[in-house]
Amino acid sequence: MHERLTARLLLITVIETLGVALLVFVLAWGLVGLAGRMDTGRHTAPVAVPTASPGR
Amino acid sequence: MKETMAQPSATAVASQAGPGDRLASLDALRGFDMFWIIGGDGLFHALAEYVGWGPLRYFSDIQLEHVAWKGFHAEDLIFPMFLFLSGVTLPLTLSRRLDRGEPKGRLYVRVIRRAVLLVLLGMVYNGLLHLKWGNEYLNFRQFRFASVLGLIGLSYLLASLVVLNTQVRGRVIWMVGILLGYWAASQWIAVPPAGGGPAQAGVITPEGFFTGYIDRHLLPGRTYQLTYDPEGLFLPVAGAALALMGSLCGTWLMGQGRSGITKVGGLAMGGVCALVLARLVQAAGFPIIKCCWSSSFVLFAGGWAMLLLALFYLVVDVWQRRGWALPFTVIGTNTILIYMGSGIIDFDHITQRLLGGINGYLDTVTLLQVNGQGIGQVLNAASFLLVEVLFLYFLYRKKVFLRV
Repeated sequence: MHERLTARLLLITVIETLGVALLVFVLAWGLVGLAGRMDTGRHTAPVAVPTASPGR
Repeated sequence: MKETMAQPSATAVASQAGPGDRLASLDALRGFDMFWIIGGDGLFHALAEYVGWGPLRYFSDIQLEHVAWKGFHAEDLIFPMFLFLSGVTLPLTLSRRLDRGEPKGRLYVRVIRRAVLLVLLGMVYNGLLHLKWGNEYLNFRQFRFASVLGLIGLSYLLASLVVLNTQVRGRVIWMVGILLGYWAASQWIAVPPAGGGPAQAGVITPEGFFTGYIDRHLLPGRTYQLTYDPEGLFLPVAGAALALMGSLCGTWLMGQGRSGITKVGGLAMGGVCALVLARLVQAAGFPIIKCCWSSSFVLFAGGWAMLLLALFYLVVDVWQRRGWALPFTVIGTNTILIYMGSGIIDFDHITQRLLGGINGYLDTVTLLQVNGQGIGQVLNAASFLLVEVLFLYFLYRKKVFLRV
């Protein structure tokens, strides 16, 4: 009984973990899609003037 | 960083762990982390220059500089460490308030308010109040919206939402899920590289990676680097995984009925496991890269953070050796204040006014010269730190803490 419960818990954990992974993947995909749609033709940033930013 | 900065984080632990058992190690470690930002690195650069000793030079020239893209140096641990520590305080603050019966709605407002404040503070740090960016007034295209504080605030917010709604198992699932999902995204989402060309997946370069693509198109204003921002739009998701790792450590430290040594051992074992896992993720095709907070980077930085926390907890809280840590504690209880304040208060000028004379004189003393190199720079760097720490000590004694 106890073993069955543990196995079930493990299965649920694995499924939930994969679910979150899928969610993050879809989020990334969605953002990339959105970025593509809002493509302003700007493929590089306008300027790159690195400023001192401690701790980064 | 918020709760991070402030005294209450440690006080909160005290009430969990029982009176007289305050978790001073958190403040000390946070201060140790901030020490390198506010002048510790400058002191080591000056020392390495003065002494010219190989290992010190290596530490100063290599380890105290960021890697350009792939890899990991000590300097790359400073920023994630703050995020990790803000995660450690989560169970000590949010879970405790929940247990006390504070309504969840109010806690949501609290964490959202903090995140917004940190994003705003980050923008102020980037020069928002100058109103002049790229030599033109109100030219928002030249203003950088992303910031270190902003990334900390948003990662903290996401992690808080998870902590408010889950127990340990749920947090582990979210952490592992985020790291796995990010790894999958890094391998399979194809984007066109900066400068044009066909879309390709699995190109983890500054020009070809998808987080940079998102920044180039969706992040308003300018990015820190030409093709991406190291505090970009997608990165709070990865940062949340690190804060969640911290929150698990916080729960472990709060645990009743565990000896201090057991807690230290658990943290150290967790740290080693995270380092090993980081190498596995790296082998699976997602290298350790701070600029995009890759899954392997989050694990690697988290691993080192856990090992350092284990060390500080052992020395400061288990062995109760606290005197040496006082300078770090006064920094660690007011980190936001000194981070923001260093751009407002001219500590360099104060140092020169007070100690510039004697340092200049000692620089000329032959007895103190090594290979013809005077000791002035080392003394200047040390004096600078001293002035900052004395200023913070004064605030510490007066119990003035900037809380966000």
